[in-house]
Amino acid sequence: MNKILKLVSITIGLCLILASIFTACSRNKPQKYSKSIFAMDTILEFQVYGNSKAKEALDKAIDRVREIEGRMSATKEDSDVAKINKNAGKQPVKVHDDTFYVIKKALEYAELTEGDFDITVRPLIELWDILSDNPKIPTEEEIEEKLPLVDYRKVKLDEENKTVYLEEKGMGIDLGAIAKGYAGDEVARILKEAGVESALINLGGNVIIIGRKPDGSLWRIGIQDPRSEETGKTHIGVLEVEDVAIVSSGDYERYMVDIYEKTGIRYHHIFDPKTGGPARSGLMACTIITSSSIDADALSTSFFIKGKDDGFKLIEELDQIEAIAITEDKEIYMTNGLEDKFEQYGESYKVRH
Amino acid sequence: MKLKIGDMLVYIFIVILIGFSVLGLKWLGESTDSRQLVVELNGEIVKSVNLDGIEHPRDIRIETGDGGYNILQIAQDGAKVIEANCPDRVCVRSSRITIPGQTIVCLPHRLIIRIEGGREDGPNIDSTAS
Repeated sequence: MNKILKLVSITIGLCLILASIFTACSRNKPQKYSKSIFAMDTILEFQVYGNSKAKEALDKAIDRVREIEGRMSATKEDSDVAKINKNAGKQPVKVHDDTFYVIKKALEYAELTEGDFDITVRPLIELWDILSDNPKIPTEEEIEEKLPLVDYRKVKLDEENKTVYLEEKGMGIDLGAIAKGYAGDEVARILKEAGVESALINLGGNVIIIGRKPDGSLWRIGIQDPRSEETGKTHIGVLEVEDVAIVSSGDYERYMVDIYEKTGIRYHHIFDPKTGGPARSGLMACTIITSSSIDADALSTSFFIKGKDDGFKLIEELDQIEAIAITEDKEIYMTNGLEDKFEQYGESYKVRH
Repeated sequence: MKLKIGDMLVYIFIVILIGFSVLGLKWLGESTDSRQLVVELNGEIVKSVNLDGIEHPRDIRIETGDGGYNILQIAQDGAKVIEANCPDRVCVRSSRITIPGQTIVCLPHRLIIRIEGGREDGPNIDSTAS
């Protein structure tokens, strides 16, 4: 009897030790809170690590994103942007402080990029209607007609009254190239204020990272292969990073699929404000890596429109910005700071220096 | 009290078995070798189809609520949306998905279809910048 009792208690004891080892391991990890929502015309994915304060902050961040969308979406009837566009050529429109800030920042980028980054492309977006059911390529005349309306210098801001005025009837602004970037910074701000030290946010492809992974390792972010349906690979490579925003722009995100399948020409959604059509700069995609998400967003579009040479020139004039460019010849170029953080994947592209 | 070595060994073996089965249950939930087509509606998985087990292409109709629907054509290599009654029909015009990680989204119907699993044929990635 004694012998059996002793053996049973040894067994139970060992089991308990094993069980407590396993639970202790999981209790030391911060809790993971994930959420996916549909907003800003795409999927937004949030992965936040922390305690209950982190969970609250995540909910608050999501509310903030919806608020931003409600104010800055050109297609939401009551948004600030819709009101501005409706009153083009008529009168200035008072907007929320954050909308004003984003528009002001956008105009600064327009100056910086000599008009390559221009939010007044709404008339072109509506003309081309890339995702319509009956895709049609506009004629030269139709484009010529809209071009005079595309001019960031015709946007007048009143800093004191927080009003925005589009000088000519028919003008329109679209914040699609910068609003997600702003949203990313706001999400990061709200999470950091709540003490979150580890998070991975993906706003429709715009990646924002706080800190490192909970186990202390760097986050591994894949760079989308712009021709994944041809190469059979989703990514061209991986970046190992922490505390950073990564935004890509490319001709593969939204384009007239039917026309591409028939003609092999991509009519994509990144318009060159000077030609009135999709930017043809020799790039299939580019990626900007920097600490501020709004900068990454605006610069990504700017770089794509400018192309490799002018794009890198622009980046070099700025502080702490890294970039990757993927050309139509399937070559990858990148700024020096990335070379030890980038791991190429697959052999479809050649990395050049 | 004298313990037979044999008895001791049996008991240790039992403890080790228990330990591994706990770990095993944990790991089992996380890995899958087969390619799955996962259909998510409103953030919830409503269908998961094992692509490797498909011999002939077939169509699946997904009711998305309020009279909405999307029809998926699935085959061993992947899937495509072939018909839908959403207002913009972006999903129908999206290209076929064939690689784990790829997705087709129907925003108006809050529908996502994605390919998951399959042997790890790529770098281990936390998220994609696209």
